[in-house]
This record gives sequence, structure tokens and C-alpha cells, in this order.
Amino acid sequence: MAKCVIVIDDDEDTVRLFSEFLEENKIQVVGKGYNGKMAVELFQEKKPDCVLIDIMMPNGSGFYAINKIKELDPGAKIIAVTGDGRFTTEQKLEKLKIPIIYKPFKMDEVISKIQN
Amino acid sequence: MSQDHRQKGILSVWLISLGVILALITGLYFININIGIENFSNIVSLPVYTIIPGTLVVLSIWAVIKSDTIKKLPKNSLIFLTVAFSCWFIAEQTWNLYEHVLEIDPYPSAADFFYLAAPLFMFIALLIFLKDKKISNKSVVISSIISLLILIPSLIVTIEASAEDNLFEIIIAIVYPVVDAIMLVPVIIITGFLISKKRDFFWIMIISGILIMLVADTGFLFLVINDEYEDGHPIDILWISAYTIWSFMMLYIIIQSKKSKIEEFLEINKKQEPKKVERYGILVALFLINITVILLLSGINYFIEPREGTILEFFSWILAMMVVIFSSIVLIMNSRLNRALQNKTEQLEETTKELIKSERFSAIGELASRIAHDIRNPLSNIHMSLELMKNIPPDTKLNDQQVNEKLELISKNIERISHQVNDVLGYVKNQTTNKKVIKIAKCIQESIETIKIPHNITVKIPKSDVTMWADPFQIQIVFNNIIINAIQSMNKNPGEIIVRFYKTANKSHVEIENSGPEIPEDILPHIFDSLVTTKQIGTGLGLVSCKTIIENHQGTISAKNNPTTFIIEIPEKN
Repeated sequence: MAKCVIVIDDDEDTVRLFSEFLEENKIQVVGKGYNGKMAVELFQEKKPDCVLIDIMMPNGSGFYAINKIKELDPGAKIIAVTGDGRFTTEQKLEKLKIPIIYKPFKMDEVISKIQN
Repeated sequence: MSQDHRQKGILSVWLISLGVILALITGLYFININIGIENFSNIVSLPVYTIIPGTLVVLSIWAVIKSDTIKKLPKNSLIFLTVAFSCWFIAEQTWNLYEHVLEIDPYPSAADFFYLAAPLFMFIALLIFLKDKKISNKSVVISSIISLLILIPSLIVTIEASAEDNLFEIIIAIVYPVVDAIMLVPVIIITGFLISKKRDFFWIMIISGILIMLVADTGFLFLVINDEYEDGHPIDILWISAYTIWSFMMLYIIIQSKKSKIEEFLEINKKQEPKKVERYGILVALFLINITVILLLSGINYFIEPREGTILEFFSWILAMMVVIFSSIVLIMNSRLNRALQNKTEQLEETTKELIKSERFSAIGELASRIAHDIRNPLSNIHMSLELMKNIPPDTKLNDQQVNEKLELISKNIERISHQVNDVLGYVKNQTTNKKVIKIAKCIQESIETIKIPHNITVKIPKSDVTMWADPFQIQIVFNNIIINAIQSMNKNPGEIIVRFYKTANKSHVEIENSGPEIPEDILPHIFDSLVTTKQIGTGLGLVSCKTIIENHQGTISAKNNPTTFIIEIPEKN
């Protein structure tokens, strides 16, 4: 069965290209959001298999969304897709047990992370 | 416990211990009167009149040192209180010396001089306290009249009693009640003020002390005239009570003034430069100690009869020598400590420098990761576009819509990267300016063409053009930055950007206004500092570059709210 995901990034081009790319790889994109708040709303609404989320975003950062989603569903699968390479960000995500994909990413890496 | 409760607790403990001490002293005097204590003046009077006024002086000096942290009391007022207390202390000691040690009764003496000076200083202290209180002329007149009415009987009695004295003695005798009357005027005003407006525990007690003192002085006057005063008379209790109350109040404000550790630390660092303490504080203190000891010893040697002088002289010399030796030890230790302090200061400076350096590095780190983030995003878009293009069927034409769309995205994202890099370069590099006469409207128009203005945002530029003396390339970076910031601040909402420009005698002015949200007030003053950004994306360097560029043109750039406007002023060619 095809996996369904939501894509959250403040960069519209990224969301569009990323979604197009996922669709081509038989992954269904059920929601697109541009900030942390939208991520939480979409998660509640769509109940996706996986959340692909950027970290540095205006109006509710990625961390805000991750914490909220984990509160709603501790078992939720979240993958951070970010260009933020700071050590502190990496540490925080590790603590939350969130896998990270750094931009620019290899496509098969993303697919395999979603599939697992 | 709440602050209020604590305050009340402290107050009651205070009053109880004050009461206990006063009761003890009163008890001693009453035992003496009724049963009679042998050698009362040496056992009780002498130590009591030395210890209590001495404690008062020490505590008030301490309060003066801490006066910066004592908020409810003006520093100058406190200083004059201390001078007044010191005068009383000196007067009492001189009195003690005459009465109990030398057993003589000179009049007028040095003691009288200090007894008379003290109320005058107290008067000044009270005036300083009253300075910023709004006191009506009426209350000044009323208190002066009351004080005068009290003065008259005392004056009459004094003049009658001293009919046989010489003129100088009469004057001194008259000055006593006069000085007290002068002090009484502000006392009455403050009493009225404390009753009607503000009940301040400290001043209530200080005023109570003064009133007790005045009663004692008046009582003493009548006793002396009737020749009824002798050492150990219960009237002494009044003076001691006044000194005790004042001592307690000094200690009270010192305790009340306690600050947090950090504040104290800052205070010490700010106000007490170690060098000053070393150079003046300790030297002056040692000098005073030496002078006092030597004067006291000479005084005693002078007054005591010569046949006892041999032993006394011997002890005096030993005491003087010891004082000198101890002073030298203190000086040596002080210079050692000073050297250690200097070492520590140097170390501290070194550490501070390192700290600043590391902070700068962390700022650079922050900047680097921001740049990395801002470049990775468009890079990732380019990468994805290319990957997706790989999957396009091989026979697709180059002008196919899908291909075109991807190519456009690639170009847009490359532009984003180049803008970021320009930002950083503009910040890092101090470029030389190639100024020439340029047309402002044309320059802005060109700048707008390089930016994709969203369809829902309109840019209004005046048609009539004005010239400016500037580097066209650099000025365009400034316009670009301000306009891009404006567009990003509108966050996809419709809006408008209004450009205005005009010329004054020797300057060209450009104002760029936008309908976006205001710049937060706390950020506004720092908006041209590096790494300040309200955006999640952005190096925080755009406006820094703008400022650098404008300053290279000897111009100014500023920002204001209501509506959000950036104002640039560039001087004309000389």
C-alpha cells in the first residue's frame, strides 16, 4: 500500500518540487503546509503515515510542531528535512529521536527513510 | 513569608530590643538613686557615655558608606546626621575627660563648642530631608512661633541666672537654648509631615530622639541653675536614650539597605576602585588613628601631674611605637594585597578578552550556519528540479511547459543563492565607491527589474526624476535589500511600496515606505546591526550592508514606523 505523507516547508518551491518528486516515487502527498502551525493542523486532519518537516520556519518552528504532534500521537513518524546544520539542532532532534535528512538530499535516502 | 510580614517582624524585634536596652540603663540609674552604686560614674556613666555615642558614630559612618543603597534617605542628609552625631560624641568624650578623668569643670570649654555645633548640623540634615517635600509657608511660620514661645522662658531663666557671669559666658549660656530652638523648627514641621502624610519609621524615631534630647537639654538647664545636677542624675537617661534610639535607627537603615549579591558585586566594581581605597581610604584611616593616639597621649601627659609622668610617659612611648609598628604592618600587607589584586585584575581582563573573542567566534558560527541554511534550501530546489528533469521522457522539447517550469525554478533559486552571497560579500568587503551623477528613479526602476515583485504588491515611483551623487551598483544593492525586505515582510499579503525622493540644498533624500507590518520596537534601534533579522530566512546582513554602503557615501540611513519607512540621505558632490 502506498504510504501517505504531509510535506511542511516555508519555501513554497521546495514543497512543490518535493511533493512532485514523492508522487513520482509512489508516495502519496496528502497535505502541504508552510509553517509549524499548519503542520499540526494537517497532521490532525489527514493522519499521515509520515510527516516530512523543515525546522527553521516562521510562525511556529519545526520543533513546536514536532512536540505538538508527539503529544497528539507519541508513535507518529516524523522526519526532519532541513538545511540547518547546527550542532544544537542535531542534538535536539536526536533527543526527540527524530531522523534528519540534510538538504540538498539524495532522493533514495528519503524514500528508504519513509518506507522503513 | 511575605515582604510586608517580614518588615513588620523586623520592626517589632527592633522595638523590643531597643526597649530592653533602655530598660536596663534606666534600671541601673534607678538602683543608683535608691540604693547607690559605689563609684557609679566610673562603672556606669563613663562607659555608657563612651560606648553608646561611639556606636552611633560608627553606625552612621557605615550608613554613609552604604548610602548609595539607602533609597529613602538623601545622602547629604545622612552625612550631616553623621557630622551631628560625631559632634555629640566628641562633646561627650571631652566632657568625660574633664568630669571623670581630670575632675575639673571648665566653662565654656571645647565640649560646649561641640554640644552647640551638633544641633546646627542636625538642623541642616533635617532641612535637606525637607527640601523636596512640599511644605507650606504657614507650617514654617507656625513651627517658628511654637519654637520661639518655648525659647522665651528658657532665655529669661538663663539670663537671670547668669547675671554674675562675664559676657562671653552669658553668650554661651544663651546660645544653648537658641540652638535648640533653631533645631526645633524643622522638627515640628517634620512631625506634622509624618503625622499627616507619610509615617516613616526611620524619621519618627530620629525625631523622637531629638525631642528627648531637647527635653533633656531644657531640664538640664533648670537643674544647673538650681544647682541640683550631679553625675548619675536620672536626666542622663534621656540623653542616653536619644543616642541609643539613633544608633538603632542607623543599624536599621543599614540592614534595610541590603541588596542582592549581584547588585552588590556590580556596586563594588563600579564605585570602589581598589586604587582609590588603597591610596586614600587606608592611608587616611591610618593617619587618623596615629594622630588620635598621639594627641590623646600628649593630652593625658600634659594634664596628669608630673610625678606620675614617668610611668605614664613610658607607656605612652610604648603605645605610640606599637601604633607606628602596626600601621607599618598594615601598609606592607596592603601593598602586598594590592599587588595580588593587580595580578587578578590583569587575569580578569585577559579572560574577558578571551570571552569576547569566543563570543565573536560564536557569532561567526551563527552566521555561517545561517548562510549554510540559506544556501542549502535553494540548492536543494535546484537539485530536485534536475532530478525531476531526468525523468522527463527523452523526446520532450526544450520549450515544453514542464521543462520550462523547472528551468525557471532553477534560475530563480540560483538568483537566491547569488543574493545571499552578495549580502555576505557586501558585509565582509569594504568596496571602493565609484561615484557619479545618477538618476534615482531610473536606478530604482533597474533595481526592481532584478526582483520578482509579486502581482499583489504595487510599487509607486514618482515620474519626475532627481539626481544623486552615488555609486550606481552599490546604491542598487541598498534599494534591492530594502524592497526585498518590504516584500518579505508583507508575507504574501497585498500591499504597496511607495518611493519618494527630493533634493535639499546639499543632500539627496530617498524615502521607501511600505504597507507591511511595523518593525518591532525592541528591534528598531538595532535594525542596522549585524545578525539582526526578523525573518527565519536571511543572513541578518542585508541592512548592515546597506548601512556600510550609505556610510561609504558619507550619507545616513534610518528606519521608522508608522508607516514603516527607510530614509536615505546622501550628500551632493562638493
